[in-house]
Amino acid sequence: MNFLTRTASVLAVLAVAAMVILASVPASAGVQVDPDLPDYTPVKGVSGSIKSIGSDTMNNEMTLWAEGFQAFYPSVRVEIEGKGSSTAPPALINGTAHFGPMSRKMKDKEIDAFKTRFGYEPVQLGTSIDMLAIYVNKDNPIAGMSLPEVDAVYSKTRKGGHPDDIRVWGDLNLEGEWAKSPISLYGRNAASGTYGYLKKHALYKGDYKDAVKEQPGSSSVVQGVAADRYAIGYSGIGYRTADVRAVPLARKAGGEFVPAEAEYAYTGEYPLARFLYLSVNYKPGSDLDPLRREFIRFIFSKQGQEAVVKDGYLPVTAAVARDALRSVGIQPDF
Amino acid sequence: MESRNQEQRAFTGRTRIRSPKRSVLAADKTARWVISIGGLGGIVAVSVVGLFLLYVVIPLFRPSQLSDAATTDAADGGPAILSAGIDEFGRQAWTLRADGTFAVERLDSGETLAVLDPMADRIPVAWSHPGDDGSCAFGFADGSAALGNLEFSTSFPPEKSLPAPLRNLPADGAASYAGGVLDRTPDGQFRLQTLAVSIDEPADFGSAPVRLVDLSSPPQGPVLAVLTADRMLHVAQVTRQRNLLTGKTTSRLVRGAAPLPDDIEGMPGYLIVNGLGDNALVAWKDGRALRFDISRPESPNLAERVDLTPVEGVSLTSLSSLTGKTSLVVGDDAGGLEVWFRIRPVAAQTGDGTVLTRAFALPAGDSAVVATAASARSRMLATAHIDGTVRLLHATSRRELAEIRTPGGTAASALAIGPRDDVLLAVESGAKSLWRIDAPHPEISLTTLAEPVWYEGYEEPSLVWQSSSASDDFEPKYSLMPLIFGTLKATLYCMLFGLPLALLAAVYTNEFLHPRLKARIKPTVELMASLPSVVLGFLAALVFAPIVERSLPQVLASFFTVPTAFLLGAHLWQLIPGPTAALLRHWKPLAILLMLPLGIAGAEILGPVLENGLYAGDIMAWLDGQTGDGTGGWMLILLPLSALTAAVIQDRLVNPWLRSVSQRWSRLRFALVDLLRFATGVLLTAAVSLTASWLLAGPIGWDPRGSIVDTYVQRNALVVGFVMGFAVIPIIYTMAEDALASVPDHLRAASLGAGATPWQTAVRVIIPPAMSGLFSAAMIGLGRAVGETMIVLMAAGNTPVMDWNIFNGFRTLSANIAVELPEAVQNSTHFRTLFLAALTLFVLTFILNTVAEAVRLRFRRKAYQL
Repeated sequence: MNFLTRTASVLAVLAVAAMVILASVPASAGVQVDPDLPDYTPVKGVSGSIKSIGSDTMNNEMTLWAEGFQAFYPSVRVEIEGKGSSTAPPALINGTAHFGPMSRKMKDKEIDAFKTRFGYEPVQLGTSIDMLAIYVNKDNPIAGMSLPEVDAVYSKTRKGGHPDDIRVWGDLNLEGEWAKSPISLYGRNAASGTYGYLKKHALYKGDYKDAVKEQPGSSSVVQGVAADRYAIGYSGIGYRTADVRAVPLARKAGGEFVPAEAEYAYTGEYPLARFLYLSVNYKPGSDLDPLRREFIRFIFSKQGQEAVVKDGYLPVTAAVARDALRSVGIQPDF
Repeated sequence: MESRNQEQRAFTGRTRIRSPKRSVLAADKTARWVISIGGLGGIVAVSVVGLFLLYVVIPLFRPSQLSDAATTDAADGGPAILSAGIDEFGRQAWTLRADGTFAVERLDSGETLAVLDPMADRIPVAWSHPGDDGSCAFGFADGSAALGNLEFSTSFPPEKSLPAPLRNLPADGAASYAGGVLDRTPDGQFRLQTLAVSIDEPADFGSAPVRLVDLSSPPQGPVLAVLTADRMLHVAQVTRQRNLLTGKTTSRLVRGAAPLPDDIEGMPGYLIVNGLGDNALVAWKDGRALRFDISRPESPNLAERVDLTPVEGVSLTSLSSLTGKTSLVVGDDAGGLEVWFRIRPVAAQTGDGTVLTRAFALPAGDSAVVATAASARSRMLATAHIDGTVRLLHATSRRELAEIRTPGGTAASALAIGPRDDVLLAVESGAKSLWRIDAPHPEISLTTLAEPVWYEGYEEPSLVWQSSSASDDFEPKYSLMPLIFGTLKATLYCMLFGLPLALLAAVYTNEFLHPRLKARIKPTVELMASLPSVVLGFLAALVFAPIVERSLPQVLASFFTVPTAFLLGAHLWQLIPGPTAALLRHWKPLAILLMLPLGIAGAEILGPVLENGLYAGDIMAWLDGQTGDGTGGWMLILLPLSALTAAVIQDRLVNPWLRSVSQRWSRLRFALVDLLRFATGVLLTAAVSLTASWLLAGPIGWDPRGSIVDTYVQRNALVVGFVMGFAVIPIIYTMAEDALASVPDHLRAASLGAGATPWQTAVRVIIPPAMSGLFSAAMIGLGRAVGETMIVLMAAGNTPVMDWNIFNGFRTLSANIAVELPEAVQNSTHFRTLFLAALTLFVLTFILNTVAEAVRLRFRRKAYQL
C-alpha cells in the first residue's frame, strides 16, 4: 500500500468518523427527567433577542434550549457564542450577553470585577450535570485509573502523591504493544472551564505538563483521541463518540473504579461530576425581565431538561430546579 | 506659456506641444499627492499599530506604590489584639481581641460599629483563619477546638426599611447602620456589609490545653490540626460528598493523633496545614521543624525533619504561607525572608517522596520580621518589621513592591491585605492604618518574562508559559521564552523544507522548462497560495499527521528515495539516443513526474528495511530512547549533509575530470559512465554517512536522541514544517521566479552561445544578478512563516515545550495569541502580556524585514555593477 491509497483510506475513515460523530448516541440515553418538573407553559409578552457568550462545553446545550424556546416564541432571536467559560464573565459585565454559560464556578476575581460594576454578585444557576470523562482510544484495553494516576499522567508537579511520572502506557500496567508506547496527551486550552476543573480536582491544583496538546474545542480533543491510538484526552461526557472510550475512575489510589455512568454522577461516587452553570446578572430583590425569566423557566422545565438529556448530559432534579428559580426571584409553581 | 506660442511644425506635419496639457499636469499632481498620502498613511498605520501595542503593554512595567488612606487612633486600654481582617471595600475592619471578642471598626472615622462575642465565656488561646472562604478555627485552654465561619456578609436592604436620614445617602457615601456599613452600589441600590461570626460546637482533643491550631479547606472537606500542651499533634478531617439526587451531603469525620518526638524539646511556635490538607508542619522558634504526612489522618506520620534557619544564630520569628498554602514564608530575626515549598526529586529520602526545599529568598528587610499577611488572590504578601517598616512583596517576581513606615514608628502587630488586593491594614498597638495598594501587575518583571523562575512545586527554576486556571490561588507563569522559541522552531523547520524546494523550482521552471509549460506551471503553483491556511491546518492535523505517524520509516526513507529517484530518472534519460531524445523532449517533464511514484515505492520498500536495520524494528520505541543506539539518529542528520558534500565534490572534481576525458566518447558510453558515477556516488554517500553515524554512536557514544530527535508526538514539527512549507512555497516561488525572469535575456543568450550548459548559465550568470530578488523572496516567505497562525494552531499541538526535537510540537507567539486572547479579561496582566507577545512578534518581523531589506540592497548594488 503506498501513500496515496493510504491517504484515500484515511479520508474514508474520517468521513465515516464524521458521520459517527454526527449520529453519536447520547451517553445517558436511559436517563429520565425528574417527573416533578413541570411542562413549560408559554406566557404573553415575550419578544426580543437573547445573546449568550461562554462555555464551549455547553454550546450544544444552549443551542438545544434556544431551539426549544423558539418553538414557543418564534419571534425571539437567540445568538450563541461558545469560546470558553472565561469569556462569560467579561460579557456579562460589559452587558454584551444576557446569559453566560460556564462549565465551572466563577473565580473570586471574576466576581470582584462584576461586583465593582454592579455592586452585587452574579447568580450562577446549576442547569445540568456533566461528568468530565477521561477518554482513550477505543482500542485501549485499560480497565480504569485513579485520580492520582490521572495526575501523574497529566501533571508535572504530581501533587496527587503518585510516586512516579507516568509516561508510557506500560506505567499503567498495560502490556504488549502498549507497554512501551508513550502516552500522547490531549487537553483543552486554558480558556475552558474543563481545563480548570480538571486542574483543580484531578491535578490537585498542580500544573499541566508542557507536552499536553491544547485543542481549541472539546470535539477536537475527542477527534484527536479517536485518530491517535496511544492518546488520552479529557472532555465533557456529552462529546463521547464511538471511537473513544471513557475510562472508569477511582477517587483514590487502590479505590474502586467507577464508570462514567449517570447513576454514579448523581450519587457523587464518580469523582469528576460537576454542575454546568448559567450565569445571570440578577439584581437582588428585583424582578427579571420577561425574556430572561421565561428562558430560565424553560431551562428548568421538563422540555428544557429533556434537551439536556438529548445532548448527553444529566438533568437536574426538581429540588435543584426550585432552588435555582428562587435564586433569581422566580417563585416555582411545582 | 511662451513655449506654447512658439509652436513649430514637426517633420510629420503635426504640431508638437512642447509643454504638457493642464489636465496631465493636474493628474500628475493629484497622483503625487494620493501616492504620498497613501505611502505616509501606510507608515502611520504601522506606527499606530506599534504604538497601540506599546500603549497596552507599558502599564505592565509601572511601579507599584502604597498610598495613605486612613488612620484611626488607638482604642484606649482595650484588650490586646490577636488578629485582624478587613472587608472587601476597605471600609471596616475586625479585630480578634485577647478576651475572645470581635470588634468591628469603621476605618474612615474610627467608630466602633459592633462588638461580637460568639465564643461566650471561652477564651481562645489559638486561632486560624485561612482567609479565602471565611472558614476559621479556634483552640481553647480546656483542650477543645471549634470550627467556625468568619466573614463580612452582604445584604441589600430595601429603601423603605431604612431610617429616613439614610435614604439620601450620596452615591459614594457610607453610613453606619445595624452594626455594619451601609453604602450604595453603582446602580444606586443600598448595600449593607456586616460581620457575621459563627462558631460551631467545640470538639474535644484531650485534657491538655490547646496551644496551636491550623485549618485548611481543600475541595473534599476541611482538615484541622491541633497541637496540645502534652505535645500531641491531633488531626481531624471531614470528607464531604454531595448526593445530587437527594441533595444531601454526607460527611465523614476521621481523626488521628501522633506525639511529637522526644528528641526536640520545648513547645513548637508554629503549626501549618498545607492547602491540600495532606501535610502539617510543626516548627520551633530556633528553626527546627517537623513535617508530618497526614494524607491518612487516622495515623499522622513523621515524614521529614528540616531546619528552616540553617544559618547559625538566626531564629525564626514568623512562619506563614502564601495563598493556596503550598509555599511557606519563613521570616527570621535578621529580617530575612525565604520561600520554601515541597518538591518531588527523583531520589527523595523522606517518607512520602517529597522534600521541603528552600526555593529562594525574597528581598530582606533591615530588622526582624514580626508579622506577615498573604493576599488571598495573588502571590503578594506584606511583612511588618520590628523597626516599624511595612513592606509589600511579590513572591513570583521576588520583588519588593513598596515600603512604608507605620505612623507611630513602632512595629505593627497584625497585618491584613484586603480581599481584593487593594488595601493593606496594619494594627499598631491598637491604632489602625490603612493604605491603598496600587500594584496593577506585580507578577511581571523582565526577569519573569525572560529568565527561568522557580515556580511553586517545580524542581528547579524553569521557563514556563501557563497563563490561567480556574482557581484563584494559581501562580500564573508568563515566560515568553517558550513562545519565542516555538516561533523560531516553526520557522526553521518550515524554511528547511519550503525554501530549497521553492527556489530550486523557480530556477528549474525559468531556466530549463519550455516557456509554454512554464506559463502553465506558474499560475498553478500560485493557485496553491489560495488554499486557506485553516484548510491546510485541518488537513495537517487530522489527515496528514496520522498518516505520517503510521508510516514514519517510509516517510523518512522518502526524503532519501524521492530525490534519488528524480536524479536516477535524469541519468536514465541520457541513455536515450540523441535524435530520439530530441523528438521526445516535450515528454521529459512527464517522464520526470513518473519517477515520483517510483521514489515512493522505493520508500515503501526501504522504510521497513531501515526500521529493522537502524531503529531496532520499532521506530517509535527507538525514538523514545527505549531500544537501539544512536546510529539511526545520526543517519537522519548526516545523510543529507553527506549527500550535499557528495554533490559539491562531484560538481567541483569529478565532473570537470569526466568532461575532459569524455570528449571523444559516444553519447551512450558517456551516459553509461555517468550513470555508473551517479550510482557509486549514491552508494558512497550512504556508506560514508552510515560509517560516520556508527562511529559517532558506537565508539564515541554520542546519541542524538534527546536533542533534535526524540520521542515521537503525533502533532509535530515535521508535519507542520511540511504543511507550512506548502503555504510558503507559492509566495517564495513566484517572487523568485519573477526575479530570475527579469534578468536580461542577452546575458542568457550570450552564456549559452559561448557554450555554457543551462546549469552553468543558471548558476553563474542568471542567479548572481537575481540574488536580491531571490533573497527578498526568501525573506517574505520567512515573514509569512513567522506570523503563520492557523496551521500551527491546528497541527502543532500548542505545547509550550523548549526542545528542537523535530518529532514533537511547539507553541508559537501567534497561535498563543489566537488561543488565549478571547479568554483574557481586558486590561488584566494576562491580557497585557498577550499584547506584549504581539509586540514581540511585531518587533521580530520588523527586525527581520529591516535586515532583509539591507541585505537585498547590498545584493542589488552588486547586481547593478554587472
